[in-house]
Amino acid sequence: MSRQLTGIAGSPGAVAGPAVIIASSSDIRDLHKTVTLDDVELAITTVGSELDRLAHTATGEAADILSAQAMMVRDPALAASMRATCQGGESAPAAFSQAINEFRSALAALGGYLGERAADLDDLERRVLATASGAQLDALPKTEQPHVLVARDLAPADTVGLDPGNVLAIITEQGGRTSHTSVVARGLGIPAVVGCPGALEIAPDSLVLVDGDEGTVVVDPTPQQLRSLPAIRSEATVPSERCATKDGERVELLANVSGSAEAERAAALGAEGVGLLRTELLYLHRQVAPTLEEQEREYLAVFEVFPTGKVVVRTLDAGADKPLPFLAHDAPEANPALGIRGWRLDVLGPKLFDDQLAAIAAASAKVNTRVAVMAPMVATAEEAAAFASRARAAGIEAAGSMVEVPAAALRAGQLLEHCDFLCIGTNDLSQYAFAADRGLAALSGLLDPWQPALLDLIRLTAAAGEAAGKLVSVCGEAASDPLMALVLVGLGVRSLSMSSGSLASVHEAIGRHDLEQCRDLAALAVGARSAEAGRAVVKAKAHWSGK
Amino acid sequence: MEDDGGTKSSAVVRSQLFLAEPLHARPAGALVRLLGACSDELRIEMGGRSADGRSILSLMALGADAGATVTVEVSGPTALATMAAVEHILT
Repeated sequence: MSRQLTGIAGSPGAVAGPAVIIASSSDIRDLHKTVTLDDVELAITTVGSELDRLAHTATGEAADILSAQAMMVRDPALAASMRATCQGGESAPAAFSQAINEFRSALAALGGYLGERAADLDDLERRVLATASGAQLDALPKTEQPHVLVARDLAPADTVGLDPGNVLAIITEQGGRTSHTSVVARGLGIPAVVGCPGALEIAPDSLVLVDGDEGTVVVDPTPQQLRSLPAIRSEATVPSERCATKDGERVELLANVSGSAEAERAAALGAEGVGLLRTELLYLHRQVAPTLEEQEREYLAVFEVFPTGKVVVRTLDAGADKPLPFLAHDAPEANPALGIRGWRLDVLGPKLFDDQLAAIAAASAKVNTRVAVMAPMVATAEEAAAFASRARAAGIEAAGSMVEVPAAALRAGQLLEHCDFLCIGTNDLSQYAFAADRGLAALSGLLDPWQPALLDLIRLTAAAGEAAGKLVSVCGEAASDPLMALVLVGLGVRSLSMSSGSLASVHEAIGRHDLEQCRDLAALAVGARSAEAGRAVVKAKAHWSGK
Repeated sequence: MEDDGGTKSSAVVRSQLFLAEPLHARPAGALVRLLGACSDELRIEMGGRSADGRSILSLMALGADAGATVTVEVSGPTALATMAAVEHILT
């Protein structure tokens, strides 16, 4: 008999799978009357450090929530209130709970976003008291099977350990649209239904259909209900073989990521490594530059996802359009895209990049991952040489340059005299080759990666790579289009880096063609009179009709 | 104003700010981080209530929404620079 529960749509998508229930934690409030004020204060420090550590392994909003929680637990007002109540004769755990409760009531009374932060305080209370009394906290289930996770609520610290490869969906009894479970689920692309009464009464291992768009859960769905699913996530095929053309020419497939959670997802979807690790998130929204240790932890977390694979780190790609408080641009720039950005920021002083390179080198020394670095916005061979020598001085062996400026593509051979590899950033290369702002929708026709003039610049760069015997890769949206990927392989590119959702289809398209066919398709695309004509003729000739 | 332990250059700066976004965890956390990096003191007042800039919970509990007017007072050796950074975070 199927049964429907209704909650709040927390994260979109629909999926069906077996339920795994996390039992609600036992009430630990009156566990140990012998816990002293010192125990609680020590526990506060421990929990604060633990939350900081978790924040460094998370990315995006989840990282923000965790570091905010670390600040909450260390809040001096909380400690002061606890000590005052304690002096009045209360036990330390009771005094801590009371201090938490003052703020919980204040936030809950405000409602909305702030009201939902009251749940953060519940979690802090639970963690601190459990740590102080030596009790064990409930952990995520250790199951290797894909499952739907059901819980009362998930704390930010719990969700860091979520394996997006195994967790098909999340159902929680509590929480709302802006609670951390929803935020984290959306970040990982996992469907979620939150605020769902009756969720904890779902029997373990029963099949549940979760619709994160509608906010509904069907327990024991009928075959008809299952067939109505648009696409079941677990059916996404992850290729087991390394990508190669039909006649065996290897093409490396890598992912573009901004942090360790995205790297995990990429690994689960079959990426061999990371072809573009963006590092801007570490620097944005900050008053001071991140410390060496903080950077090292962040890089290490990504490297550890690919213990034997490859990770290419792009050094900071910022400019006057997103000014950083700790980098003094002299004056606002009229054309930030053409200004002091990317590697050019080095003119403001060597510390920024020397620190970043030192942190990458330190993280790299702790793993067997093949770590490489590359600089954005390189225009000349001298700039490429300067970056490569600074990277090698820091102890990083593989140093390359992005090719985003047409001048760099035209002189790719000379850049390769100093670099170990080149990586073509097709989005910026289009913008600079066609003098068309990437942000202007009206100019999108000029920014089409099928523009034959853009393909000329890619062809020149790839040919220089073949002549020098060095790798030329492409990262950017062009690499996620299976048809364009065939053209890139035909032009001599042997490494493609893309958003991880495209890995499977690009892998399959390349596997259906031999190298000669790819070269023929490339010649057709380069020889076309327009972007539309190139795309049409390649689509007609390729053995690929997928999306 | 409070005794800052004898530092001659101590100053007090007050300013009224219109919040660009609600005083949620992110901006409140940015203020706490900012104060952690200097020895200035910060108080934010709204509607007769006042919060210590080093307490993320008190700042959030003000319930200050986007568009609200708050009074900010910074005191200490680098008060002017800190006020500029506070304005950058809140407005």
